[in-house]
Amino acid sequence: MKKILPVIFLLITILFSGCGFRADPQLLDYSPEASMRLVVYTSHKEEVYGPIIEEFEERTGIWVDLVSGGTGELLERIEKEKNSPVADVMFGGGVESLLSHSDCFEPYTVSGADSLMPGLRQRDDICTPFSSLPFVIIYNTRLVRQGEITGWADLLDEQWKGRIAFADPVVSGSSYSAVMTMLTALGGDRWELLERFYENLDSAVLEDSGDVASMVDSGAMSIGITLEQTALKSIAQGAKIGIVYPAEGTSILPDGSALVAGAPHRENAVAFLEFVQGTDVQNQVASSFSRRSVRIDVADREGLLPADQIPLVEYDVEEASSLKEEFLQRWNSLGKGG
Amino acid sequence: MFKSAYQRSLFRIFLLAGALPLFICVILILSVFRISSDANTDRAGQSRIGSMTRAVSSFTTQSETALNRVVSDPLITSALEQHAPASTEIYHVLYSALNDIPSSPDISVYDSGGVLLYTTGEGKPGERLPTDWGLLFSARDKDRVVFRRISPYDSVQRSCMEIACPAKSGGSVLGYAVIEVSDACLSGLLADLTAETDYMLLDPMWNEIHASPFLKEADTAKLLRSSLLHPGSSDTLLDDYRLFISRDENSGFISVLCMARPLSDHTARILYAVALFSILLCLFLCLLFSVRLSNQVSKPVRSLNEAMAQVEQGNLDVQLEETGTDELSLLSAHFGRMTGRLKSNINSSIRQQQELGETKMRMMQAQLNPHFLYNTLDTMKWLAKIHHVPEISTISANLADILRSSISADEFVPLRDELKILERYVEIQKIRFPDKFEYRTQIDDETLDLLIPKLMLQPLVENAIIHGFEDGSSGEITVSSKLAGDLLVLEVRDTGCGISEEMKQSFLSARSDAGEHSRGHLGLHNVDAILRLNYGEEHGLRITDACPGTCIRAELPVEKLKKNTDREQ
Repeated sequence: MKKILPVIFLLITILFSGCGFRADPQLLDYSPEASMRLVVYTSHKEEVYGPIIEEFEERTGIWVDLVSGGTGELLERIEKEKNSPVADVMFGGGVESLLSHSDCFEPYTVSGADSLMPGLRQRDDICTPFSSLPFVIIYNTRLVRQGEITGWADLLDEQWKGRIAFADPVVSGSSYSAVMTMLTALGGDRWELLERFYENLDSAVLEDSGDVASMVDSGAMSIGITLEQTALKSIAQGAKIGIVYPAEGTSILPDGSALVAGAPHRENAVAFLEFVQGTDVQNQVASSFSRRSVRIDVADREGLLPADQIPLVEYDVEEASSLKEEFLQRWNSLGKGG
Repeated sequence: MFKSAYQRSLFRIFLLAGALPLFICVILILSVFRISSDANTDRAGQSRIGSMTRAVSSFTTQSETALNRVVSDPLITSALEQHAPASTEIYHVLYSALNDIPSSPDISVYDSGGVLLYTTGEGKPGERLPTDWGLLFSARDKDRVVFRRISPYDSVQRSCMEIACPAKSGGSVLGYAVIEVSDACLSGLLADLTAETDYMLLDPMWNEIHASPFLKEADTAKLLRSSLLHPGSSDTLLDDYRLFISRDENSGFISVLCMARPLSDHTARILYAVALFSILLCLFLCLLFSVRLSNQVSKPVRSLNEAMAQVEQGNLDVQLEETGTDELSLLSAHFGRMTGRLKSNINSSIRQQQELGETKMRMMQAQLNPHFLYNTLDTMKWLAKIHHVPEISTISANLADILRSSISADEFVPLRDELKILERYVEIQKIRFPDKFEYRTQIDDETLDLLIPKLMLQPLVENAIIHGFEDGSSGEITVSSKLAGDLLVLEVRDTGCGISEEMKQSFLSARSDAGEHSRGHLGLHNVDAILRLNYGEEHGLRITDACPGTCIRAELPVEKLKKNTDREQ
């Protein structure tokens, strides 16, 4: 018995191992070598990263393994993988979010750095700006008369209570930058202003920054705070919304790309950074993506308010990121208190 | 697991004979089936992927040739230089270039700024293609014919694949010739070749250019690309299909054929489950049968064994229940009969022992204080001699001899000695009953040395004297001994009044009932008992009528009478 049982088990194992093996060696022959790979984490929308990645792959022959997600989520992942990085490049995300994780990134200065708009480059070139994104106030052209909204101050007006489309800054990094810009532009006690603004939102906080434009367009909300490019894109798709560059001044927040420290395919990552900063891609940024390029030698789309006419406010990215923790604390307590 | 080693070995035998062959058969059949069907798929797939690759390769080569012809055509070059409007001559060149290409794609000519000038397709002159991006950039950059898929991000979505070649003059780009290949065009080219197998045409980065509807639906290209990027991950779709892949050297495009595995994992799993089930069933049956069969055999064996143990302990009353007619039941029955026999044997031997004991006791009683008697007789003999009474002297001497013989330790004496004692006795009796009888002997000499029980003949003669002539008559008493075969025949015959039938019956019945002795025949019974005890039941005394008189006869086996030592043992 003791001799027979193992034999039976062996036979059963043989019988059933037959159906387990499935790896197709022929297929795996085509698997790219490590030198031809690149792992990109991107928080861009597919319409932005799609053509860029495709063109990059075609020009270089490098296979891009793309992971797309929210900025916060991806940065958290990079932070978690800090000891054995998976990603090579973080493509997208506001520079302040990237800077707040500066220890995960390796400073890299692209070859065309001189042609980048001054003021958009970041400390130590931790990240490279990709496109320039001013915050704007949008309004539903049917619910709000032109000229009725002029700046940030209107957002504190009781008149619009509960009718402001604003994404939760806990979730959306750009939403945080927008509200910090507003607080800076309005001047005064920052936290008191925040409280007033929160009251005026009347608990109507959106989960996704992408919903702002559509909420305003649909008339569910009258006004909203979003990025210029989001507004432009919606308008291009036929949304009935208008854009206001706040009179108190707004900030132009570039999104950027960053080289992950200890990137497994650093060479390809560098090639990618050079590529997205290059004229060809920047031309696409201006022409196809409703965005403003970060290069001085790339002209903005016709019909846009020229960059030098946008009222700007001094917005210290690093200060903003240092205040983030306190802000989130206050914001959450407001949420609980209200 | 098993109660007995017997069950274990039965189970092992059942396994070997039943389950193992089934097992091997199942494995062999399944693997043979799998291998052969895989081989079939393989052959078909290889031949189809071969023809598909040839078609793609000839298509790309011919397109390349056509484009080269167009860009090197002086008419086209000069038209590009001069931005000449479309003319029949130009279209003639374009169409004739297309002639050699199967499944008729469209060809267009763009100027150096990416503006469409002439086309055989649906495009409108004046349309733009970017020159710093995509197809035209690639053609200019690489300065050769380039192949590119139309991606979902491209502004113009007329076709699924484009082939472009820059037209150059003296180092500067004049424009581009572009072949646009539509989905319909590719399926016309490939569908027939692949014979209803699912196929895909992929760009070098494994993005889908063209695919048969099923694969398009399942977004197989993306699956493949992601499994190339993450070789560890597996996908169920790919599990059920066998892929045949080949690369076109010209364009770098990849042809993929996707054939369903003849034995898909699902089917295989069902087959294996059925196989496993039948094997388990077989194992179970083996187990069941071995237990049942061994019980059938071992139960009677066990009870037989227990019964034997009881018999060993001395309990002969063991009863085995009858179970059937098979060999084991016969064995049990046999055992039962054997113990029964043993029991009756033991009982009879116990009875014999008791009889022997009783007889010995009586003999001992009879020998009471013989020395005193002997000495007294001796004294009597001498006193008679002194007083000259010769009869008393003779009687005393004879009696003393008889007594000496009777108290001697020997149980068996030679016939010779026995006869001497008998003569002494007869002498005494003659004095007692003068003229009553004549005593004769007929003794064969060869019988004289045979050993017979001591004082065996005396009671017989006494019986003859007392009972043979009790009616007052007179006659002869003859003692004879002779050999008849291996028997010693001793006879005491008288010519007296004979024995009555009643007496004979009482003698025989007394023999069977050891306790009761008919009075007056004590000596006869003792002799009979001694003979039967020593030589067996059949060697007792026989009493027959001698007409006139009675004959008492003993037939003793010579073998047992011969030597002292033999007897002792």
